[in-house]
Amino acid sequence: MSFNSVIFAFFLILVFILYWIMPHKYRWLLLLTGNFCFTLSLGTGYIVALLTVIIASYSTALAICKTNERRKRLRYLVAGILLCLFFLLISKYRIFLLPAQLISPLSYILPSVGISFYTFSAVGYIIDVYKNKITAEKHLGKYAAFLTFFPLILAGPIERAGNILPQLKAKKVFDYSTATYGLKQMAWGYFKKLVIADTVAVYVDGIYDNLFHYRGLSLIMVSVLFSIQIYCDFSGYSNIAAGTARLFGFHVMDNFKNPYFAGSIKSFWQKWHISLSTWFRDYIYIPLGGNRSAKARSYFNLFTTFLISGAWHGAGWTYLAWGGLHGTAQIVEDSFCKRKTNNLLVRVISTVGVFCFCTAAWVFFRAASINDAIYVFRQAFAGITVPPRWIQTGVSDLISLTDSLPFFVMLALLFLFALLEIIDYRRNLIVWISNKAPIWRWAAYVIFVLVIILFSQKGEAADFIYFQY
Amino acid sequence: MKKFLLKLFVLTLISLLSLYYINELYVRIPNPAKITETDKFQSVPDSIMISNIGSSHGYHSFIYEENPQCFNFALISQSFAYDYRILLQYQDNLAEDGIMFIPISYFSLFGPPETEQGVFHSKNKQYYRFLRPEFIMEFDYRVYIMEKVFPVLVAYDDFIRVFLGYVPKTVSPHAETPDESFFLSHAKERHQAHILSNKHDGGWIMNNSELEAVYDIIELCKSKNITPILITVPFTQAYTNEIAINSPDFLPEFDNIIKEISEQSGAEYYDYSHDQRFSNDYGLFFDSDHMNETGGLQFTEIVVTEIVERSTKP
Repeated sequence: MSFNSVIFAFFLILVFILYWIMPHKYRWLLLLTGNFCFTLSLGTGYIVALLTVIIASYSTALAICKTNERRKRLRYLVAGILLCLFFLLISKYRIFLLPAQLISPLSYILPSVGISFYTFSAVGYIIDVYKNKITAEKHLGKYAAFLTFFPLILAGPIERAGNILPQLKAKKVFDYSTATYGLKQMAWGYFKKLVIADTVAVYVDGIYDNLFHYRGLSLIMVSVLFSIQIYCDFSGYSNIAAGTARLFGFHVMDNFKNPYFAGSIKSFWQKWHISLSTWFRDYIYIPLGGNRSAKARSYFNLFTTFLISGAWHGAGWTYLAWGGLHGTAQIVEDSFCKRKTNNLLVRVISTVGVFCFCTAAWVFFRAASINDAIYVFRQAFAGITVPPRWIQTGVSDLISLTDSLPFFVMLALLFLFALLEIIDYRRNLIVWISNKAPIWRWAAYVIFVLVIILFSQKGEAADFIYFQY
Repeated sequence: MKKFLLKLFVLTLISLLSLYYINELYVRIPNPAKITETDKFQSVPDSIMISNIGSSHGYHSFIYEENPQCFNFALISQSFAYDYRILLQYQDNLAEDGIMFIPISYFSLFGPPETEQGVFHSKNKQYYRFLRPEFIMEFDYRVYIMEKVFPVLVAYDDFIRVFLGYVPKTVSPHAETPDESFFLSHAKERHQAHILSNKHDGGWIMNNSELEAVYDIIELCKSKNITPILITVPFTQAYTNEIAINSPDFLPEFDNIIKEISEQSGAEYYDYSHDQRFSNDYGLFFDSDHMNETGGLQFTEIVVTEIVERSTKP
């Protein structure tokens, strides 16, 4: 059951109505049941890893809380983290860690979706308890309801127990404006995923799956398109997740804040996949020493954090290269670009520069191997000495993947998306629409719903990219 | 919460009504962009005397022009299992004492079951447009709603074409004859796709469900007093040579299977695959194993003269 499936819509309506008509003291139970139904729909075997992480984090956090002995607490902490990470490491690095003959039989219980996200939430929870930031949750059911919260379990945002558990316990009454905001957030997310990301994916996959048949501008164009695809795919998912959570009265952290408007790499990481970036900051970068130590050491910490972030995405050199590139860029930026400016032209140039850098780094992320990524860089400018031909060939390569009309429809949709994204950056799109006169507001809602329905890629439910991480 | 649910209901209702209206417009506006291969099933004639089933080989090789007593039931990549289901639905349109051509290609009876093939779900959607639900494999109501009830949902760029009145340029595969090197390289690709990909442990994986479907089709024909004719359509020399040279044990194996089917079912078999009236003339093909319009017309005429007249003689 994915967010872009029909069955999810029925599931959501059912759980939503039951949740709000149920007395407060039973709501956690309803959520927990809904969460497990949702998880079981992904694969019954996945429950093994989920239960292990729940029980390991719950019991070690309680154990940490019960003792004041520093060594014991540390032992519990390490044991808890290792237990939680066990399934994550095995499922992500199964090709390196497991003998070949065990991979296939074990794949039934090794989750292919969501494990990174709930494992990181659980590990963050144990560390927060260890650092006395929060107290251990005594109610196993409520703790499990937090960790398995279905809007977040597939691909985050990686929430903190300190944010969700109090909301789970608080007596909530239905709030009309929160619920409608949630619905609008979901609609914006579905638009980004179904209309933009899936449409662009046709061209990205068409070229990247037959990479060596292409050279020149088409490689640059699909790299830019991939930047848009991955943003719309993941931020679309995050919007749907946050919107769904809002329907139940939960406020989860923003995962994206228009990252492609960032004027520096550092700022980009404050706007991109915020829940993961802050997780790495709080639980890896700062424990390593953060920026409080000597310059060289703090750069080492930064670089290491980005390498780990790359490795978190998968067992491949391309992900390490992607992480390494971002780490290096931040070090270079911190060393040479310290002055902030309000000059519009400089800001525009730096925003475009950051987008170009991120697009180049995404090439490693999307390419099947380092060699493929190098091929893209080597061949992207082949033939540029004759610019008209370079442009014509590049455009016709993309058009040949579909037809001219769908290609121009895609461009029109991208233009619409860019407009909405600019509004969202300047004013918050949802608030902007909500403040319009009812007739315009309702017209916008209906048109938006129709655009989503009519321009979703042939009704196919394509998976979200970040489910694999 | 009541207010929220009420507004949500109103929004859903307005959206559905708008969608219904757009769908009606889409369905009613005539435009070549909407023409699909399956449209022919909207007007299957009655009392069909000569017909054929099959996949792309049957689709391209039998061209009956506007003869109302003939009908081509073939669709590209169609399995025998679906041929049988189509015939079950349209059996009353077939005249008694008629003739049914059953094209057997080299790949027809080999490979994994249809439902296990990667393209099954995308291929399966076309049958929702004309087959009744009971004849559709792995019937799914969601697909039915999208393909049959609200086709605008899956129209995507066709939806824009229709509303803009845009007429797409159609490039017919029959338009021009490629050179010989194209046929040679295409034959190599087809050998890989049709023959080698179905080879496992030194033998070919039989597709038993397809084999059963052939027997079912023959039985159905006989029950309607229709003469079933097994036939292999002409291929280019490039294609048959490629297979004969690089998979020398395949053709004898194929011949044995056809012989067995023919003997057990009593259906006659005609092999035109090496017929030199076609195989040496690349001008009759648009690729190594598919005839173009000229080839299809010529072949149909020959088949009707040679087989139909012989079969209908008392």
